[in-house]
Amino acid sequence: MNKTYLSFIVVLLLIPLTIIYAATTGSIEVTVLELIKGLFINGDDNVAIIKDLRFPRIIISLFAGAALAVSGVLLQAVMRNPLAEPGIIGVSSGAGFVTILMVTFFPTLYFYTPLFAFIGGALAFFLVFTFSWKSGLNPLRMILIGVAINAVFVGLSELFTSGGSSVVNAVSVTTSTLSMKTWNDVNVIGIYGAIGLILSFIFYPYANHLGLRDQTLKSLGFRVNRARLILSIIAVLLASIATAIAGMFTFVGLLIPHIGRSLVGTDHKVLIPFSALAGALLILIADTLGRIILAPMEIPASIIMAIIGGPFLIFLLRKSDRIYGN
Amino acid sequence: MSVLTNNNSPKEGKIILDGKILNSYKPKELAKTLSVVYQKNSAPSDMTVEKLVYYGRLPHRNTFSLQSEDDEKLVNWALERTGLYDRRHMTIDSLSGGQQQRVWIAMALAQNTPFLFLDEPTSNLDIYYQYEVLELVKQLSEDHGLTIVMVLHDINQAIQYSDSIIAMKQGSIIAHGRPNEIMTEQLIHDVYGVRVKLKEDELIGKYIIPIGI
Repeated sequence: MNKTYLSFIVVLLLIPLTIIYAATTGSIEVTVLELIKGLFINGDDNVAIIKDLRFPRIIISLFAGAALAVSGVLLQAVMRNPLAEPGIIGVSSGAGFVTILMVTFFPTLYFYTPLFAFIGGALAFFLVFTFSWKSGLNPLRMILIGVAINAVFVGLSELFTSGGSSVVNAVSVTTSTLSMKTWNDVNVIGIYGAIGLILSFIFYPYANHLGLRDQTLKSLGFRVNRARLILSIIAVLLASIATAIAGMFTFVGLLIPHIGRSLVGTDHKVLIPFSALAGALLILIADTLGRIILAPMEIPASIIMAIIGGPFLIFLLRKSDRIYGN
Repeated sequence: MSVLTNNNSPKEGKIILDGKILNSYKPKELAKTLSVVYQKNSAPSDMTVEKLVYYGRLPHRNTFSLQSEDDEKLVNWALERTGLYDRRHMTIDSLSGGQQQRVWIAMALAQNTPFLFLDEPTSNLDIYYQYEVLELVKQLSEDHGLTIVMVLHDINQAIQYSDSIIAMKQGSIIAHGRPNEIMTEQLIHDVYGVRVKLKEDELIGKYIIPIGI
């Protein structure tokens, strides 16, 4: 129990500290005092710029991280697979592709981006799930199918973006796009992200139940597939909205749930909130690092994430039989 | 077994449980009538014994509702009956194979059903734990009037612990009745293709010794 509390306290302390650091550091530097003054007392030009450029970025990073981490937790529960992750199995690239497709042909429908992303994410997830169902959701096979689905959607998306389309910067399926975000984007990810997160907090018992075998759950009168469907919809919603607004991130949904399990245990009542917080923190750190390491050049947060996540995936595969259940 | 527990539907004929066709039970209704302990089980390794046994109360409550006094009473009873009460705060992976098997039986007991099905409950257990499980099952049937249906592959255990045996070969019933009445050397040979000697002992009654094929 102590380890759990300690983990929460550390994350809860680091989030505000990172927010303050991220807000005050970069091409325009202000002190914390100046920031607070500029925000609440008198308008300051620098602070106004920070408010319009950095704040949306910070808030979007936090929501995207929380959404992707929780999406990973839910997919891992649904598929009973420690490697299920919206980026790896193609949910994110599916969301990205359908968004690009629709925005290319119907630019006026930009407002419906989250809906397109959701349709794309759901399509990719449905394909992976269907093709791995026959093998009894065998972990390795499912990942291979996911990689294939992911490759197809990434390829299709690049066909559009490299074909001289005008929406190159609108959505990307290979990197994150956290710069140039507006308060409008914040509203979208804020509303849908919050809905998804709240739903995940409500339906967490289902994720716990799925820790038992299907047969056992059926003999307890539990409707296994209905629970799977509900959790999948929440997971796809979270991953899609994050992709639509923040771009493509892999590994958050892998890294955070696994760290979470070793720190706070497998009970989703605790694991889901912890993953949300830790995921938010991780993306914000990645984005902030990406802004300052090679300033004034920016490294996308997703690249920082991939550099951390790649080695970690190898580490997980080496001991994956010990990670989830028994 | 999987047809009787409604995991598969019968190709022909119908199964009637308590005067009602098995297929027409609602999932929760069936789970209140019939509990099953499967051969293969798994749970998150850091789940406590008590939490797992509480799953047995799932058919009687809503996923989101709080635990009632009834739930607590039955869970404690199930834990006591299976000798796990002192270990209820331990995690599943810290238990021995025999203890883990008792946890799954405790979960089925917490379901509080008149019928209990066990699929090879003694497989993969050391001989001491095999008999521990069999004794427990026997007591449950004697003390609480539970109807127990059990798949056993050890013929001597089946003879010793059953009131009634159904011998099956390739999906059909070959013999059905009290162990003392139906058990013959010929039957074992018919079912398993193994020649045996059937003996009788004052203490345990009939038992077989395999000779060869």
